[in-house]
Amino acid sequence: MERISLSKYKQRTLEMKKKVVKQPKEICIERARLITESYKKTKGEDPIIRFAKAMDHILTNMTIKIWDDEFIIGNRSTKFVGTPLFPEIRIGTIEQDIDTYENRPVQALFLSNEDRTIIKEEIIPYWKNEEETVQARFQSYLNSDQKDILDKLVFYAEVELINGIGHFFVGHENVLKFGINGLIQKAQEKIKDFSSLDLEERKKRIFLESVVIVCNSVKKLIQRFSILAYRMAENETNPARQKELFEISEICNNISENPPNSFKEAIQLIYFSHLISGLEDGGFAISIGRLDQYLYPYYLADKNEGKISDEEVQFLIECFFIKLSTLWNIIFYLGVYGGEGPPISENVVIGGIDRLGNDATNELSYIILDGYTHIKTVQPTFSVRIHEKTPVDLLVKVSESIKTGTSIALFNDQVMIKGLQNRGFTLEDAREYAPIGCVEPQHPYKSFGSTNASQLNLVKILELTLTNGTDLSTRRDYGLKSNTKIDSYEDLWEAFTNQLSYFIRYMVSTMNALDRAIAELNPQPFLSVTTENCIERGLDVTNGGAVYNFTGPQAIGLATVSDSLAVIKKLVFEEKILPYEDLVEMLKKNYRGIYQGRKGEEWRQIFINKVPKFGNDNDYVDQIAVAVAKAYCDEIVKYNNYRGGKFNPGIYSTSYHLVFGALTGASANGRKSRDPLSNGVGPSNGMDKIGPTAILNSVEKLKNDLMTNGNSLILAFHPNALIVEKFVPLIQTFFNHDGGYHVQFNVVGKETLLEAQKNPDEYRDLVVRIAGYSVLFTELSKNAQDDIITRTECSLN
Amino acid sequence: MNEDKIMGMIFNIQRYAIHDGPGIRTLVFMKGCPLRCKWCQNPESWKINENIIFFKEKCIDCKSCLNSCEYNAIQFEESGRINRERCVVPKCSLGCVGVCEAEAIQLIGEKMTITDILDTVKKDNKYYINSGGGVTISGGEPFYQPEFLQALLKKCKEEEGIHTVVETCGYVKWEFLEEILPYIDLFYYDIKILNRNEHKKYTGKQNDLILSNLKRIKISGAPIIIRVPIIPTVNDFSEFISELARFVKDLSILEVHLLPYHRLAEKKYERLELKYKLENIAPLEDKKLEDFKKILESEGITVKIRG
Repeated sequence: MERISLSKYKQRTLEMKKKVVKQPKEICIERARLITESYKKTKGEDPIIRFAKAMDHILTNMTIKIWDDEFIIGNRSTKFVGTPLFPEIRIGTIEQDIDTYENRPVQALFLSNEDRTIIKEEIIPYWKNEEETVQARFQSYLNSDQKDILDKLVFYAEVELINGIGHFFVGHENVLKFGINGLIQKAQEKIKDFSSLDLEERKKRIFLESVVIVCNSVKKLIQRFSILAYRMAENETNPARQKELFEISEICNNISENPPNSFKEAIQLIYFSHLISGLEDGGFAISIGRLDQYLYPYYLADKNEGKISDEEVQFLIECFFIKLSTLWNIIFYLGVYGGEGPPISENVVIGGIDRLGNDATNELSYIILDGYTHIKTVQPTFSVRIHEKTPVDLLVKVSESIKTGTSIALFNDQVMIKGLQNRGFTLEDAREYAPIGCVEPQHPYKSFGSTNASQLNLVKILELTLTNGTDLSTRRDYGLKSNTKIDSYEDLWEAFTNQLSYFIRYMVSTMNALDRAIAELNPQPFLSVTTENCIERGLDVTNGGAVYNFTGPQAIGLATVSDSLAVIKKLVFEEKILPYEDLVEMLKKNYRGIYQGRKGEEWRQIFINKVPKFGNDNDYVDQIAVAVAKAYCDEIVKYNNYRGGKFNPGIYSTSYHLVFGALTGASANGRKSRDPLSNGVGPSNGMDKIGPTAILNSVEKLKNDLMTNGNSLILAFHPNALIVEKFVPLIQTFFNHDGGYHVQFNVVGKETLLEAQKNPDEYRDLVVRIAGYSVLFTELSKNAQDDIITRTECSLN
Repeated sequence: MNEDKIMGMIFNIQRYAIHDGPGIRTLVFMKGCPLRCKWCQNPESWKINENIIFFKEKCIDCKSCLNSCEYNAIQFEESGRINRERCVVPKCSLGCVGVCEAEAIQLIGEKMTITDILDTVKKDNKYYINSGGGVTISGGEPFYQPEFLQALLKKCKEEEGIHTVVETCGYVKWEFLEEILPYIDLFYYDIKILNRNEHKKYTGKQNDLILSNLKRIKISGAPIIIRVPIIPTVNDFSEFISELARFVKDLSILEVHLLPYHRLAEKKYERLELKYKLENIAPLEDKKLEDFKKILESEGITVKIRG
């Protein structure tokens, strides 16, 4: 690249970003066509080899593109902003949605009629009639009881079944270290250790063969990009662009085989690895990890040799972020409300400590942060790890960035390093954690965490407890029944935890059936070769090859359920002003009717106003929340998953607090039927009356190190209430040894959001946090927009 | 002295206060004020006794309050629910407040012990320590309850080691100030108008006592920051600011905060059914504030806008 000024670079990336923001999202059918062609040809072969051959067919034949003006290249679909299809996972939902993609109120996707016909005539019939999808295999492993409960949506277990499992890291550290050839060599050498005569060992050989097949196709793919860049360069009339294209060609040529030799090569290789694993698996939140750590040696070497300037590095980082924003995923229609916003959450983290416990912040951390602050793209989901040793300079820069409207997620190392050790991580590995997706901590190259496995509606559990088994929304009777009369809070608590265990047992067995179906039909050879110790063990990640194996289900509605329990405890059992039966009746009737001479609405006001609510630093209710969170976490960690690891509890919502809210009857905290539940570990909407320190104090009490699949706390701050020199100590205090794990901020003023709702065209690139990930505000449903607007802003004074 | 024998009349405690002193603070608002500034943002603080406030938007129209008042002071009218002429609060059983589950009718002001206050204040102790913050006593006029103020500040300083700021209008007997001085780490001292008659016109009192107290506090050595509400048509004149700059400089006070007038309190007047006396004045232009800032800075004074 020419040496040019920072402002020139900045202008260029802003232009590039504008193109992405404006671009409609499109469906690309090429991957679906290619995988179908390949599966037709490989019938009868081993499923793992069939998948590897299909990947080879895709990577070898997919159309490759280099778009105008980009320096980091690579495409996952033929569309500028597009999503491929994954018919091998699930076909029924493609069939259901095929005629309505363009007309969805959220996440509309464009599909040409010609392509629609191909899907209808070639792809759907094949996967429906001639292959077993992961979804079909999963269903075949469920007994009628499990199917019955799954349909009730007390828990949702289908996120991994939308396009694939997702929610993992590609082991970029290993890709950089070995290069593609090195990875192939590792697998080839290992094959020799296993005999083809022994049944178990033969499976391992098959796995390693699948790795070699896919890595060879990766090599070919990157070489094709090198050739394409060279040809484009030859025809390029603008000499500056011509030079860039030659450089791109050379970069691709080297990294198609070898470990990278420069910063530019390293970042380009990371992007390719990210794309490949996104073609192998269509799941959400394939995350980037500790970008400032694994790229740092390349940065340092190039800087020392004078090969690169900080301006160029920032430009490359911004290009990388823009390229991440061009990736899109399809969600079937009924699922879109569970994860509104871009259905991809590619988490990048900076800062934190290193394996030895020293502060890991470096010059590159700052450049990455500057790049993100400047470009403000909706991807990546941007995170900063914070520790006692984190330089105040970084905290100040982060606060300044947040004030400009980038809602960076902050993570407390002290709490999570402790938490992960309790789940079997070594101290050194725990220190290297990074967040996946929204908030889920895992090791960046040794874990397969299945971190967004399922969601459990805690408020529904309480509802079924109070009604002795009847769902208030559907009036169906399916919950656990108890014959004991509830005469005290202790009785209620016991019935609640029994109901909780009952559904967790179903959730766990369901997830294990799904993990088994995935392992059998949907292997991840490329992901596996990058993840330790898959090669050594001869096992795919989906089969338990990784060092650390988890399955992470989330509890939804912690504050709603805790506030409700507090109301019942205080008014029914302590003050005895309302009989238990009346309370249940009132909730069944959504606060209509008259009870003890008072209208339901009056009671609702009493519930709201006269009983403490979580998030106000009041022990009465906070200790109930502590107990609920602990009961949930303790129950989850009892179970083993299919891959030989553990279930791992999280408390964050994505948008499930909205989805589950719509399916849940009135609750005793004053919430009416169908209203949203509380978000993550945050207070119920509008119930935090005392400001941020009180919220943080309440959340701290929860023993955050138990929620080792992560938790999330989103605080809305008016921009005027964020004063950097007061904000930094606020974070430092919350992030003490026993403090919170995660916090992030929406600093967009309520006025701006209302304005954006009215005039969406003028606010197309307004980014807000919904629940652990960023979204473009104007792309949300009205419901989700209102949810963000009504979350109280921590007050100005 | 057993501090729990003294009660203070408090109308709000606000945590995470970031505009009223260094660091992260908790603001304790005390009731009662000798002045009646026409622009006052806390009219609920004027009386030392409790007030009744009515939030129209919270009322669910359940009519529970209708027969709750032994003085028949409940009315159901558009303007509010309280007949202020009949209302004798707090010399009644507070029936209306007790029956209102929606909290549309609320009592402003609560008698609290020092222990009550410190229980809340201490909850954010670690935030004070990490940010260099503490407690700020505001009002109303804190010195309106001198005995309680002294006991509260003494406890904060001597037993809890919490940094203390007091926001005062300065209209206080010097004896009171003198006695409490040792427990105050920093004064936020209001100067509104320098001319004594103008001062009386807009606040109800002349300012001789205020200005002489300020000099005496300064001599005592206590750190002082001057706060000036800038009110259009009242004191938004560069002549006033220049005069203020000289006055402040003569006293060797080095920091002034300018607080631009805003109308956020209008709703409060409505809810208390009080007449808002500055109805028709326009908000302040930013440019004017910047000019004022420059005038003060030219005298070597550090200026912050909005504190």
